[in-house]
Amino acid sequence: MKNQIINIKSRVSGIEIMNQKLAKICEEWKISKDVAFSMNLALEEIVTNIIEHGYKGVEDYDIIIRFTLEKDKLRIQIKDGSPEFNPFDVEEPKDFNAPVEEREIGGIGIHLVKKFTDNFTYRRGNNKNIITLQKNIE
Amino acid sequence: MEILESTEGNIQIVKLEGRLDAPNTEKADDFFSKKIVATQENIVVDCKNLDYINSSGLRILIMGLKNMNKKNLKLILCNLQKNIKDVFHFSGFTNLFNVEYDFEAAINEAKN
Repeated sequence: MKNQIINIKSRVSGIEIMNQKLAKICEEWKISKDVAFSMNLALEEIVTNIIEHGYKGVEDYDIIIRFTLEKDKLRIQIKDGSPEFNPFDVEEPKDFNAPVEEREIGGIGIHLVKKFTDNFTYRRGNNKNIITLQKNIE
Repeated sequence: MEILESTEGNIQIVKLEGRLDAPNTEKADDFFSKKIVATQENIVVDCKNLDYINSSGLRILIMGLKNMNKKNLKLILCNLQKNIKDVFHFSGFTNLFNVEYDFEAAINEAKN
């Protein structure tokens, strides 16, 4: 099992550092391009959500991200100290077939997280939101 | 991310290259807002070298599509990589957009 941890600030430059770190890890751990894409997407959607809704755009909070490689899966754990919130509880967008003028754009991000990962969990512990994303490695 | 502009006759070509991720959202949003206000012609967005998009990137394109529709103009996408195609598909956006398989088909669609 391999592990790496980074601590980013709740701002766009934090996401940039996070994306670069993930790319580097995927290269080092020989993760396929498709898995790297899926996990980058899921991770960005979760962290963007935390920054915009959890931390309300305040830029100085911490988000701790732990990357773990197991035999057959890549796992990413995201921990933040914003108010308790389970993003997976939010209702899915209903109007997937509505005409473009009527489409609600919100809610798509979390829907993508669910589609692009093999497993996702939320729990509250130690006054932190703890989200885990998992993707099987072919 | 690089945004390259050119024209083919009157048709406006926009090539997106690299990653439309969170750090590039503002740049892309700014570009498309201005481009769509200014254009009097159809736009073809060539995604051949676009390696990544997230929901914020999708949001920019869908806002662009809405604003082009209001002007009675077309926003046509082409050359989507597999993963990008999946993002569109899972978002339910594929059938909203005019997505063409290749550049030539997109240009033909833009001429109609």
